[in-house]
Amino acid sequence: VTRFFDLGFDTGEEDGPISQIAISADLAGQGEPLGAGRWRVAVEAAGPLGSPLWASPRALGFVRAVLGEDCVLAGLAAVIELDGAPAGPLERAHAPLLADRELPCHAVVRVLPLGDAAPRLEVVAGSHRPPFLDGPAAPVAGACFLDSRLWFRRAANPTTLARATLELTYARPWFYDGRAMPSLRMSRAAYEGTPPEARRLLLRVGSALRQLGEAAE
Amino acid sequence: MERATLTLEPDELAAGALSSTTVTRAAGLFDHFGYLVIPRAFETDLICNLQNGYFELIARGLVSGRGRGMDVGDRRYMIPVEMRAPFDDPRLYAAPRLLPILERLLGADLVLDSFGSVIAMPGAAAQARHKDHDLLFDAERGARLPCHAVTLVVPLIDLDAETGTTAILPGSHRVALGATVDVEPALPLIARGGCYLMDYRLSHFGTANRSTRIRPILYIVYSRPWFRDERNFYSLPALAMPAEARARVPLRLRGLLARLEHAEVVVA
Repeated sequence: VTRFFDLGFDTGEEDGPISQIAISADLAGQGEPLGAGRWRVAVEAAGPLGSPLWASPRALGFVRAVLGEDCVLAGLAAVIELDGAPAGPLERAHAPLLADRELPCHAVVRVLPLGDAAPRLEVVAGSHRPPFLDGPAAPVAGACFLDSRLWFRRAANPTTLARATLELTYARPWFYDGRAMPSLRMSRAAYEGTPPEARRLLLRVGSALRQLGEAAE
Repeated sequence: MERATLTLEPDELAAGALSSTTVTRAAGLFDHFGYLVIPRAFETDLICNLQNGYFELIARGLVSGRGRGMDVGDRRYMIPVEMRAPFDDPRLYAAPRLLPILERLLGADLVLDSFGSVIAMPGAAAQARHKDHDLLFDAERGARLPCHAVTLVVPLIDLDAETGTTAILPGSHRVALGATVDVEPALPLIARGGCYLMDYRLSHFGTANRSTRIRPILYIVYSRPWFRDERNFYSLPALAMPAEARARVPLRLRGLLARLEHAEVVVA
């Protein structure tokens, strides 16, 4: 976590059930376009994408250390890249909240490559802090956590197959991400079947279900 | 006269718009005290429409079957109000005498975070002192940051010593809840048409209603685009506007109501 604060990203072994997860390349063309040959699709938080994944011990320990014990799961999406998709432009998941202030992290994006081992991202280490963009982007192999303010680019897909990368967003409870896509998809059954400790991450799902229930009465 | 009162000039009242000097003065007072009282912020006919609309909702059992809302004290309820006529009037949520001040405080990309009402019934006791939301990150840092959200309070009756009002602790937006603030509370007793703005970090409480009348106020919370109040709106909808009212929102104000267009969670 200390290294994460310094550089804005952290890599390491994953303890979630990654090997059991398969995302169909048929999702290509759906969801939000992210440039040539690349789309982001909200996926349902259930089955292999359920709490053993998004509330794995390593993930929980990491995001709670960075964002606080009351942090929430704010998004779960798959990025589908066609074979030969070129590298994307430099971007960041979220702009700094107040451009002239150095603030603690407000959201963490957990990146989980599925399938081949080729790097999915190139990151500008330290660019989550003022002056926010400085230095070259370097490839990151394997799973990683990003400060959502960190500048990065999506690496080209050099393989001959379409591939998927999971992106899970954790945030402070008051943070709002106004992007147009639905941030989190979950059924009532999946919510109710989530163990209590993991369910603390589902404040927004619990609120939506509660309000749906009240509106129906 | 309250310490942080903005008196509008006759030409500003006539034109329905503020000079840049007034906006600067208003933002300075707000930043210093954490609140601002603005008499005559709204047209009389608008407030009459809102008052009639609200009493009609009460007569119908309150607000589209959403029940009595949430208890927020003794005989005091927070009740969501759908933004349908007359509550969808842009002169209310984008008041020309207020929006320039709000934009100065929160940035041009500010949004509506919540809209509703609080009603103190006759005989309601005073509330406990509170802040509507925790300070961001941690108390020390959160107290030093610029304002991230503002509550606009629009009384639907004249507020006087009998009906009561909101007791505001000036300057308390710069300290954690419970920290000593050695000031007398400000008590904005204003006539209909007036309003007060409160920094979301301000310590405050509703005073007792010693009258025989109900004391309803509308609240409209404006925020920076990245902030949402998850604390007060777990069970209650923060913002609701039916499709027919949404279709009437002027194009220039669609950004202000952007929250209506995005579901954070989709129940599959």
